[in-house]
Amino acid sequence: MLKIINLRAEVEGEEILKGINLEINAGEVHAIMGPNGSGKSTLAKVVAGHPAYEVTGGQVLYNGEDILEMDPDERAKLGIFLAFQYPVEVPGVSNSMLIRQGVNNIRKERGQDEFDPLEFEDYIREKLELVEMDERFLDRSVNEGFSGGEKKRNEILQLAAMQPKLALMDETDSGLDIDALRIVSSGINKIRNSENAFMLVTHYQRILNYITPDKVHVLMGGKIVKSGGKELALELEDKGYDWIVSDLMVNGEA
Amino acid sequence: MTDTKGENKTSFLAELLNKSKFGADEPGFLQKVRKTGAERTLSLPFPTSKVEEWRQISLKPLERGEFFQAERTAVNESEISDFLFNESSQSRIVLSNGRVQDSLTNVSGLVGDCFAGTFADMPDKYRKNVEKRFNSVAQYGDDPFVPFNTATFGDVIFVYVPKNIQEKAPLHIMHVTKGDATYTSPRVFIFAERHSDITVIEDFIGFDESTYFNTAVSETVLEDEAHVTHVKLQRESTNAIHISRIASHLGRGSNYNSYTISIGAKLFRNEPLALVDDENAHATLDGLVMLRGDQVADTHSILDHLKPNCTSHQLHKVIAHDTAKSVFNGKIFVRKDSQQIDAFQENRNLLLSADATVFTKPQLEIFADDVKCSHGATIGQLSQDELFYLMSRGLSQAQSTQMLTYGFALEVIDNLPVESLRDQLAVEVERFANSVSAQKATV
Ligand SMILES: Nc1ncnc2c1ncn2[C@@H]1O[C@H](COP(=O)(O)OP(=O)(O)OP(=O)(O)O)[C@@H](O)[C@H]1O
Ligand SMILES: [Mg+2]
Repeated sequence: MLKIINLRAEVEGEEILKGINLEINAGEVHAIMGPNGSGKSTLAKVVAGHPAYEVTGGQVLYNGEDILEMDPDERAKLGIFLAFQYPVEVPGVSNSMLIRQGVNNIRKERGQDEFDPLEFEDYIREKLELVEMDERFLDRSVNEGFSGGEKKRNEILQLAAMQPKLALMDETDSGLDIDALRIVSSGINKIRNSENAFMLVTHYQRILNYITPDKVHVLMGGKIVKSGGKELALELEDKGYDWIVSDLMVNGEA
Repeated sequence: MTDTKGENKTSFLAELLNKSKFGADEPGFLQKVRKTGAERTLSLPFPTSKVEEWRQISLKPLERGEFFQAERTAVNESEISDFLFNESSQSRIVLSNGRVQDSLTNVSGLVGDCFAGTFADMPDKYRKNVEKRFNSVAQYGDDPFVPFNTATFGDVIFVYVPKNIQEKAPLHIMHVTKGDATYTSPRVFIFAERHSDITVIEDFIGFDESTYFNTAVSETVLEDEAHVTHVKLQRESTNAIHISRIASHLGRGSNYNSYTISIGAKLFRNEPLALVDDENAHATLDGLVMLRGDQVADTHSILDHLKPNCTSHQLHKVIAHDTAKSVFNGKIFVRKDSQQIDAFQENRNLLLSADATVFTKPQLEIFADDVKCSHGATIGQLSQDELFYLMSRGLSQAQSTQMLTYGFALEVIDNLPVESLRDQLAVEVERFANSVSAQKATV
């Protein structure tokens, strides 16, 4: 589904991604871990098409098609969804207005009928239940004044509403209390199927107890320096990242 | 007056006044007031860009133009149907070129003793207060435009709300201008007795691209505990010049909310003036200005806290596109003994093009020591992160721009008390934002 080949990207003249290779197939969950500032969010944003990052090399293939020239909305309409590490507050734009417009654009792209306001209400109510969110969040401005956990839950609500094929989840687990983590994880598990895929950026093993990853990658200094199965996450939790660095030095790769 | 240049020149306004004629059949009181306005117009110089208060804009388009007193005309209902508010179907006054047009006017929905209409039709019992206060609030400094309006007004609309009357129907006063090269001088006077309540929407409407010049003046007197909401909706033709003063005098415990929404005119100068003259009063002077093409809008406001224990709120929002230009100069005075004042002032500017310009000068002059005042100004473009967030949800660039622009304007629109007014403005903002994103797409 997603194939990233030797991707390089910079921001304000500084190279952040230094040759990323990653392949995620339909039905898979990949966890991306790594120290602060290593480029995890940058990777997610580049795949989603954030204009602040300049791609200087490599390819991002989505179902075989290079998407790097596409605007973010075109990528969204193809089924790519980014759950932000820091969801943006958008004063004056109501949550329901945003979600309805987004959902309708995507439905149109998929050849489905657009929802009228009443149909949308029914549709979104179901999704609200999935993430155990109160209806009143729909009428509020997007993320404005939401608590940290509420913002994250709102990202999952949008994910559930837009039914993407590829979800890039950037630290959705950070800042969630234990109950919220359980709700969000079970929400993701319900959405998960053999036709969609997840890239889960996280610092913690605990979300992986709920959502079992097929692969775990370690991103350091703009490169994926180690990949493994779900036990790698446990090892990282236990030992931190330093041992990877020394391993690499021993192998002469750093 | 230090500006000798201005003094030597025959005032543009004086010339215009001398070309004009006024009916001798109007009530003596109005004739008398008109005369004082005429005298003052002739004695005051026309402002040049050397005068501090007029430094940022040029009145050349006005001086170069040839204008004539507007003739009587009539508008068809179909011409104004898009501008009507359901809530005001029985509380509406239509003026065409400064004269009340009876065929489209209907104030039968106003409660009991609440009056809106011309001086001649006004019940005698209201005369005393009206004669005492009319033309006493708007004049400020050496400004010649208020006197000019006073010298040249057409049908003045008097609004009188007696004690304890809560008028529920919003009064919609439509000032419609038709024809090229004309000038009119719309004038409204609102008197709210003790503990009364009313909403007045003054709506300035022009058609197509006709060129004309309007000076508009409105005065509101609020007795103790009166509540008045005053909306000025400026949707003149895009070639119009509109110069206005919105003046208010606030009594004890009164609440005055003024909202100016500006969409039209080539040159718009607006001077809100609120005199907060007794304790426990509150004044709001909010504004929303949308500019494109080479439109110029200049807001020079004065909010004067003359007494202690009062609050005020001024949020002035500007959206500027193309080569448009906005000026904001907001003065807040807190007088020496006006302790315990809480004054908020903010000017926020959204630039949608690199060629639009904004001048902003929030000004606090505080002579009391125990006050809480804040003021600030921001100038910015649409946020890239907000745009990306919306687009990552599948919204096109055009849809995102439109939503964000609307979101910016909403803070002001949301406070307007009349639903169909809010709806009309939502459409206006959408139209405005669409013209922006359409242009962006072709770049
Ligand atoms: N828009 C930007 N402008 C300047 N620098 C940026 C920008 N975005 C990212 N960076 C820099 O790029 C580097 C990688 O940032 P990124 O957000 O991708 O890290 P991360 O791995 O997600 O870290 P964290 O675990 O703290 O979320 C950091 O040094 C960051 O400061
Ligand atoms: Mg990050």
